[in-house]
Amino acid sequence: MQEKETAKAKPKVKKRKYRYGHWAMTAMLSPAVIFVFIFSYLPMIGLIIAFQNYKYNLGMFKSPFVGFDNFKFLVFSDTFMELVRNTIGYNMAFIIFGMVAAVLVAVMMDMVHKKVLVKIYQSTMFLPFFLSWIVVSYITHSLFQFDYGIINNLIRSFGGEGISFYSEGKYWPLILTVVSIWKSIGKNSLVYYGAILSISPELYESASLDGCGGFAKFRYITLPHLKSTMIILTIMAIGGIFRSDYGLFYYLPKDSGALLDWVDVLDTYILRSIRSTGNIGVSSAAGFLQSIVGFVLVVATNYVVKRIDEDSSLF
Amino acid sequence: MIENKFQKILSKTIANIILIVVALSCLIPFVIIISASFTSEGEIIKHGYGMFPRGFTLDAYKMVMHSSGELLDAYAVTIYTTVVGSLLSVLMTIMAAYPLSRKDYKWQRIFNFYFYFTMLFSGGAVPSYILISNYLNLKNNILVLILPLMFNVWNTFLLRTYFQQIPSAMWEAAEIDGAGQFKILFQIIVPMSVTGVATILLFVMLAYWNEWYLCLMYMSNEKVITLQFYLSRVLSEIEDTVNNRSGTIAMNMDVSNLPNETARMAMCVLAAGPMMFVFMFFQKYFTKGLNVGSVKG
Amino acid sequence: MKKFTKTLAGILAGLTMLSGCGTEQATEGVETVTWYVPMLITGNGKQEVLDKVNDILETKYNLKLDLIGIDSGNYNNKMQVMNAGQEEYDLAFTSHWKNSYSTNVSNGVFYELTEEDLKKYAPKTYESMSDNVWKAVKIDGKIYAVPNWQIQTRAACIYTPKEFLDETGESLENIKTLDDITGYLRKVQAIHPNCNKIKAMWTQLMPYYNMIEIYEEKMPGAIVFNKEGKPEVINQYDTQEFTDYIDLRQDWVAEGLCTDKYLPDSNADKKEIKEEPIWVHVYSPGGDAILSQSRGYEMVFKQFSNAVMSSTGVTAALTGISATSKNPTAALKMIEVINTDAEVHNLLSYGIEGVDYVKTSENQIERKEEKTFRGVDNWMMGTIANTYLLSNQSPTLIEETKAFNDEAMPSPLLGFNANVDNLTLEISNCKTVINEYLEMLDLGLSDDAKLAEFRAKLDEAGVDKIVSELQSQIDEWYAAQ
Repeated sequence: MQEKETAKAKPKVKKRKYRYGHWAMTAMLSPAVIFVFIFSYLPMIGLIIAFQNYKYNLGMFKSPFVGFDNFKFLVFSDTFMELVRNTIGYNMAFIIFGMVAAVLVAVMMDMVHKKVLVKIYQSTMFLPFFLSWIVVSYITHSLFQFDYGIINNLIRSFGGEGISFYSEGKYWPLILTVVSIWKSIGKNSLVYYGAILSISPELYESASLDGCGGFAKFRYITLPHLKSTMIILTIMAIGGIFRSDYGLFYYLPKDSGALLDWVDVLDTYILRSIRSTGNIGVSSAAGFLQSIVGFVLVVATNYVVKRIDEDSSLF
Repeated sequence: MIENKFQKILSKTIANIILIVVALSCLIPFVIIISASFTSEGEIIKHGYGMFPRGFTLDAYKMVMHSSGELLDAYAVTIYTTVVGSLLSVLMTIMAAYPLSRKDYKWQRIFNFYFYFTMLFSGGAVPSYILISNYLNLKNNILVLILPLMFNVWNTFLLRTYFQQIPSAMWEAAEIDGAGQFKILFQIIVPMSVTGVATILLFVMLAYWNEWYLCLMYMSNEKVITLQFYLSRVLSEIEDTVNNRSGTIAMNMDVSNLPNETARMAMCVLAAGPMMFVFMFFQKYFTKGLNVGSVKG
Repeated sequence: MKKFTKTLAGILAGLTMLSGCGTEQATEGVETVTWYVPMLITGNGKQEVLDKVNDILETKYNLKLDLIGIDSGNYNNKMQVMNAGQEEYDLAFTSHWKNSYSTNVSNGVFYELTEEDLKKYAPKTYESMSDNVWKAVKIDGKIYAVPNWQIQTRAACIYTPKEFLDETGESLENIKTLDDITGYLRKVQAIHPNCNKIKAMWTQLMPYYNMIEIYEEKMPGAIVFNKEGKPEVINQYDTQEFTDYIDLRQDWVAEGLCTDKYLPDSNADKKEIKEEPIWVHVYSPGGDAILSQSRGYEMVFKQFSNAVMSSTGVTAALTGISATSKNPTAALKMIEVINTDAEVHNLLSYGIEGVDYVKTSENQIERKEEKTFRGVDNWMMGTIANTYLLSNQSPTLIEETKAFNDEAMPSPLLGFNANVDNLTLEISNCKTVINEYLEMLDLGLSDDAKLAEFRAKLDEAGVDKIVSELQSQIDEWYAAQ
């Protein structure tokens, strides 16, 4: 009705406004578009380095092209499979355990009901999120240090032998996974908590009337509601499965050679190869590979998800 | 019925216990750091780290404060970049998130993908360096600590989800009244999404506060360094000296004067403390949870 | 909305104001030289010192120094990205152990210095160093960096607290081999059972085992001379010497002479518990005095191997001129100034007299406890010959160093620099393996199985190819001599 009236009063207004709206919105968007263009798209020209024998004095535009040599170098190097195994392994652990932990914490927060308590829990769990990896590394140092670290103190007070964490790689997958989840649990559980809050209480009530127990409610109401959030977050995470948080993998193990087997991931490899061998071509190739794999995986996962459940797909 | 009630109480108790354990695990490391920073070095060597300070001393803080005017400089720089950077960043994010949240915006899908793509592809460290230092000439300019972090796609998508939850009737009505899009955004949409804006503001502040890589790469003026870079530098200097990877004996490096265990902990407190304080103001916005959405909007 | 715009305008104004700070105006005709060193230059007195330096440089030489200190841990990272990004700068510290000289040269990072240039713009520097020294920095017959004159030979040396000698009645004269050191450690052990007594590294012991590293510290491929005196390339990690050394380290750990635990950064107060008080390191005249000062207790030392002047001895401290430098002659002039103008070099190393140090004799100083400037180590920029000595150093230290350099046996391979372009894959693989194993082996914390694993992995990584390629290069070079 309203539309008709305005249309009658000023016939062309609606259309012009429509267009004006587009330009205004484009104008709003433009700073971001320009920023992203400058700081994200322009450096992508640099991906050509991955196909070059990069010489510092010749630079990006004059260095000779060598085809896929850098990729071959990377893939055939001894460490590559280890790097891939570590990178993917850690990411899978972070994705799966991180999600389970976050969902569980969110569900339990919902069970608590008492607002004051929920607030306290949330705030404390959010604390680690604010720490830089450098500070976190100080904390892990105080925990795992051999002579006076807390964990070793505990072990000794129970009559055990101290463990030299910084020279034994086998402890690190566990340590890094726990720390990674620990740092993000506050934030991630909030995401799911928000989704749970949006579930209508009536659903639970009617389920109770039907005689559903707590677990059944979780299984048939809560989980399906969280599904799309879980899927979206997982797809996004899969896009980064070849990447990892440099700070976590560099600062916590302190770049200790004895741990490399267990904690070396593509990102630490890339930065180390820039730092020590100066082989920019190979490090670019590794970065390129990360992007390609991420891209392919996201598109593929999204395709699969779309086939199963249209609404849950990312795009 | 009674059984049901009992079950409910039981499960509630279990949930509480587990949450308390998780919350404590998040809290205890802070207690350890804070208590270590007030403990004397000798006590730590003798008894190790602990939950409560054995004895109370401000030595570590005195040492950290005394040893450097740099720490104060670092504070000034970090506060400046955090405040200025996050204000500008939030403004830009709001303006970007709004069109992206409007399904009737003509290029919504294209731009959504344009942004999403950068989450997957990146040019790498060296090309970025070449761009920023050789073409943008931002080296040794404080802007370099602000600009590259100013726009974050993840935050934009987060805010977009908040905007999407506002009923379309709100802006439709305003458009019919002849309001411009800027007016709609800042007078209707933003006030209705305070939570979302507060959330990304906090995230952005955090990103600026914890920044060190840009500082390492682009700043060689020692007056202009960020707090975290200062921390990382102290750390790396200690490691390099103690492990002595160098082939020659360093003369100007006084091993005995390097910050020791407690001083490092004091620096942690000084570096992380202010953000904790800021968080208290934001806390109320987080009780309702966060929202994430998809690229398709 | 208005308020908002106002705030925004305020912010932007602030931004532009601050961003203006970065640029400094240059005076007409004065050439500015940027110089990167791997050491933080700090202290409240820093600006004053640098201003003073620049006053002298400007009035006397028409130069201006922009000195940038990067903390040692981040130096490699930053320099590599800067070099790759073709950043414009003039001078940088380079060596075989930090900001790798050979890698940089093969990447074209440094400006080639001809002898004419050197003679013209840095004549005194050029003359002050022997032909052997210049030979040692040549790569493919060309010079890409100026050595910082210091101790340029390598000899293994033991540093120990004097207190330990007094307590045990041991004399340094008796220490000639690693076994002697073990004996000494046992005596110390009787008095100080609970401290981690010694720090030693395989690479520093190369002269003791009569091996010479070829192209980079720790990397496989070392030269030994066979009975006919001909150079032979070996994988130093696959030798009886290495096995013996690792066994010795394991014995030390087993006997409790040094710790059996890895302490990546145990930073306990060194003054009190004397963590790793004894140190096997490279010999450096005056090193005892430096250590005494930095540790806060008296250290003494003794050399216990032959001294060899090899490329790595010379390339331990170099200054390279960047290929991106707009003004390489000014950069070369700057090197000459540091090498010849004692006042400038002393300012940069020690700060201002009376504020940061007091003179105790003509050429000796005592640094003040409350000094406000922590400068650049004198060997990081230019020669150590023109700076003050510390009051506890021998007043004839420079002469001693000179004599030591001159008397050392020059490596017959001086002037040979390997071309490793065809070995990048193998070297990078070996680097990873060495990163992973060497440190723990070197600390005596691995067992024999690990040693075997290390060797097997090096084989896999292509160590044989490296050795044979280097051997053929050396044979070729040797024949041409």
